[in-house]
Amino acid sequence: MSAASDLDLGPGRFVWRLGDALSVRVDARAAVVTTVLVLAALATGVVALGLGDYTVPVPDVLGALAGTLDGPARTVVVGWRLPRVLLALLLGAALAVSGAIFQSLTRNPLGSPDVIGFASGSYTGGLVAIIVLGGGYTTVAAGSLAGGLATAAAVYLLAYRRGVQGFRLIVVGIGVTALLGSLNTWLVLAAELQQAMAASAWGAGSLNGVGWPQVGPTVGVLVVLVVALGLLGRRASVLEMGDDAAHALGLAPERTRAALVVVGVAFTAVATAVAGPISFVALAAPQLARRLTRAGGTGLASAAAMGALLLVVSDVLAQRAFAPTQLPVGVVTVSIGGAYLVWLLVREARRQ
Amino acid sequence: MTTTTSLAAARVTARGLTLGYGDRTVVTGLDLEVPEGELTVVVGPNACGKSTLLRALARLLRPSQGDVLLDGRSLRDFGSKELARTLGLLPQTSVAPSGITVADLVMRGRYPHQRIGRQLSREDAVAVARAMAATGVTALAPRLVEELSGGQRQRVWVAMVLAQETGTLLLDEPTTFLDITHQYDLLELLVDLHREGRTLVAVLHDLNQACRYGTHLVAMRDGAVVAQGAPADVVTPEMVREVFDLEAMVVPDPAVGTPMVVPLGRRR
Repeated sequence: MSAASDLDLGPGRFVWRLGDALSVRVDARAAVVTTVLVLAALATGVVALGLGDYTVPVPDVLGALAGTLDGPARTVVVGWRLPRVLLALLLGAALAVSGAIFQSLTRNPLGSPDVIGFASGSYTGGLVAIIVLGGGYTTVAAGSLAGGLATAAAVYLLAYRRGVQGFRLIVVGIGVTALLGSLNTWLVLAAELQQAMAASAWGAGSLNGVGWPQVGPTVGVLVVLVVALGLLGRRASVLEMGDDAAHALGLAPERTRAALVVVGVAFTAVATAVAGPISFVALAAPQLARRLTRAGGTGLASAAAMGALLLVVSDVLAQRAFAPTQLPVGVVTVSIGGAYLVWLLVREARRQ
Repeated sequence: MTTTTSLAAARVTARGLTLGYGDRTVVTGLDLEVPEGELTVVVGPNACGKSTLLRALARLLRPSQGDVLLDGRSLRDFGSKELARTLGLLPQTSVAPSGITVADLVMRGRYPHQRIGRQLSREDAVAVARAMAATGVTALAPRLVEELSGGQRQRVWVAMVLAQETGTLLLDEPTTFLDITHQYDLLELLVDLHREGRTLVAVLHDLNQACRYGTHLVAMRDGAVVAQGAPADVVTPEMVREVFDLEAMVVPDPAVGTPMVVPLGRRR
């Protein structure tokens, strides 16, 4: 383990090497921030496991998780509440990673999937699956992914003019979001009452009613996506330097971008399939994480940790703020995210 | 109008190049030899196709006809990372990603040399340190690129291309957007890189800078090469008229003796 490098990478940044085969760049500040965010998210998760109509004290929650405590407390904590908390953590991270990918691709903090239409497209796909095909987790998941990808393809082609520029993509995406919004409304209005109610409940973005059956497939898909992203991650940072520079460095910009769009849409679609459209986590989490780490580049790990924390906190608020009334978590993230968006726009406006 | 340079082997050769964007053809049937170890400067009026030519030499633009050879091999036969280890390009406009440091940007020049599991090998660190020293930006390493002045930023981008460790460097209007001091500063840097044995091709706007710093000059007009050779041989009042539609005198540069173009204008 050595930091043998003559380069001054800035305070707290160094290279960790293991022989000649492995070298990893370490940013101490980013590592600390990410660790703290992960711990905070996990701690919130533990607290969330104890909250509800049947309150379980924290030591008992830990006992139930460790398997040293049996009885009704274990059933409530592990059987009922754990899948929801796990999904909040995982989906929050997935949404944030998706946001980080698209913000990197568009080189713009506004370029997240919920702003540029991909989340709406996932929702449209899911709606069609519920209304036309009758629903079911796998069908809705497949519908969300197909809808997201179709929207991504449409936005991409509409914005294409000898390659795709970030700003064009955002403007076209906002237009497509508006179109899809009215399509979604029409789909719900045109559907049978029962299906329309199911679709509306899902459409607000909610973790109410999720359980263990959704955890397995979600984890499986996320593992595949994380591996794919691991292979693409460094290319994303080269692509950020602009198409000409990326090309000159030996990267095929269009192909890389297309691959990143597919992976990014898939991260959003996973979340949409389980919980419906949850807005603003993808928009806000990567930027908030960046403010804390003060690091450049894509910062996927810190963004994921921030997303997990945001969604798990939002879900606790959604369940407890107006208890016994249960709010959809999407309502909470929209409120938090709306405040963030106003701040972001004011700040950008002031800068210009 | 092709002058054969038999002194040095050609590093990059273009044969019968026809280039364009969509239906618009910019360059037709162009032949060019970039001699090894020279600092070749491409000049010509706006929209004469000089940047388009450079993009084709770097394989950023696929020729509709003809071929570009690098060390005798068609560019089409190079793998993308292999080409990036042989030929470097400084694009005309380059915007650094926000929030990244100088060291971070220069390190990205190592991409074509890297493999999974090695984010910065010892060779990478040495190449990055050498590139930053050559361009005089070592002290700026931990600074944010967006906080630098235009001149410093351009040096950092040159360092990024140098970290690629290619024998041949293409630079598309590297002095644009720089004030005059930083323009000469950058040109002197190109001379240093040339003296170290690299083959350089730069597109420049200023004919006098091209005469002073280029060792091989290529003058273009309307997508064709009008003259090429050593500046002292090719820069004449006739050539300036033919390429730029400008009446001018050509006198020896009082500082270094290379040809200097003095436009006559209408106020004679």
